Amino acid sequence: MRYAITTRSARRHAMTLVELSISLVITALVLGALSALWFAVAETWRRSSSSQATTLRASQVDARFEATFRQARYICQWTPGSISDSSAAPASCFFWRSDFWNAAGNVNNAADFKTQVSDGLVQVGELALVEFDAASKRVYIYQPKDPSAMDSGQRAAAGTVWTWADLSKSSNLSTFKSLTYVEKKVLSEGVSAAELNVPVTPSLSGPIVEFTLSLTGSGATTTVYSTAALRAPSAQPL
Amino acid sequence: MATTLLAIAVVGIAGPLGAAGEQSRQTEERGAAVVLARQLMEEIVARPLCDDGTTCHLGPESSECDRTQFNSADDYDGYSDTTKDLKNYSNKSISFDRNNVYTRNVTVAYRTSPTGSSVSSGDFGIVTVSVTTPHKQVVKIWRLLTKETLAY
Repeated sequence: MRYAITTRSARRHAMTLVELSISLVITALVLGALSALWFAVAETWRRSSSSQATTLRASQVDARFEATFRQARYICQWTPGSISDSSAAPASCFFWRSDFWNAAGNVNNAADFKTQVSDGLVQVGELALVEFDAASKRVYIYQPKDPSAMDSGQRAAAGTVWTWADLSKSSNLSTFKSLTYVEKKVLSEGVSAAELNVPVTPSLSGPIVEFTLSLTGSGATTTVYSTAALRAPSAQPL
Repeated sequence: MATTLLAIAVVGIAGPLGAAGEQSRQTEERGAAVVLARQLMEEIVARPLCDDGTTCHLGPESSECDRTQFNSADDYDGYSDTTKDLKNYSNKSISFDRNNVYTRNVTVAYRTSPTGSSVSSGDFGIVTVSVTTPHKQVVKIWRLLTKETLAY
């Protein structure tokens, strides 16, 4: 019995320095490979999420701009802005949204202010301004509140008719923005530069609004260039 | 032995990771292609289908050298451009990534009915805008136009 125990003990021996070194190297290799794999998975995940976010944002911005300008009746005044020159005046577009203002409408009946009232007059309640703000990297839309959210004084003011002299006056942009019943909403975020173009189109062609935007996010910049054709354009208001 | 197994595992895992990265790039390109296609389609639909609203002639007239001179949708038949030298309607260059070039092509086909076959002239026109991405994927959008225009 004593003999057997002695024999087993004699066969067990500690690891040699060479064995220990090899096992350490293998452990280091495994850990290194696992770290590399972990990093690669994380990087692919990040890139994939960033790419999907950029693609979705570009599509969303395009859809929102198109929807905003397509319904417009007339582009009253606009400033081009610039993609490359940050000192240029910011891109903006002041337009007649639609001919729907119904002075006699019932504010509790939404349909009264959603159907066409073709009086050919531009009431302040029918206007909107799209403006790029470089500081906040956003594009804002300023437009009058829903008539049901206005008080009677605001509704009366929103029914004021602006003639072409008012609509084309550049100082009226700040007047419009400061009206108590005009709301400022975000049309798009993460826009580092914006440029607009309202070119003269050939006869019989409808007006178009071209927009070029630089979208930034997750360290990448994407250029979005698109166009909105006005579906129901009108002649220049009186 | 362990090192060999490790190398095989790393190579095996690197493949799917690379494919995932490629897939996300292609998704991004398809999104950009759709925006570019819609841009051109919006520009085209702003015009009447045919010259002066009546004369059917596919492709630009001899006096129309670039797209800013096209006065009808059928002038765009055969039109092609790339993001390498893309300009807006006022001839100002749009700066896209020059390493990822998208190519746009337009075809216009006349029809006598919305579902009919192509003819040389008709009351309807099918506009097809195709955009080829840097990875050679093709994104196509179509729109049916008519000779009649509505006045508001």
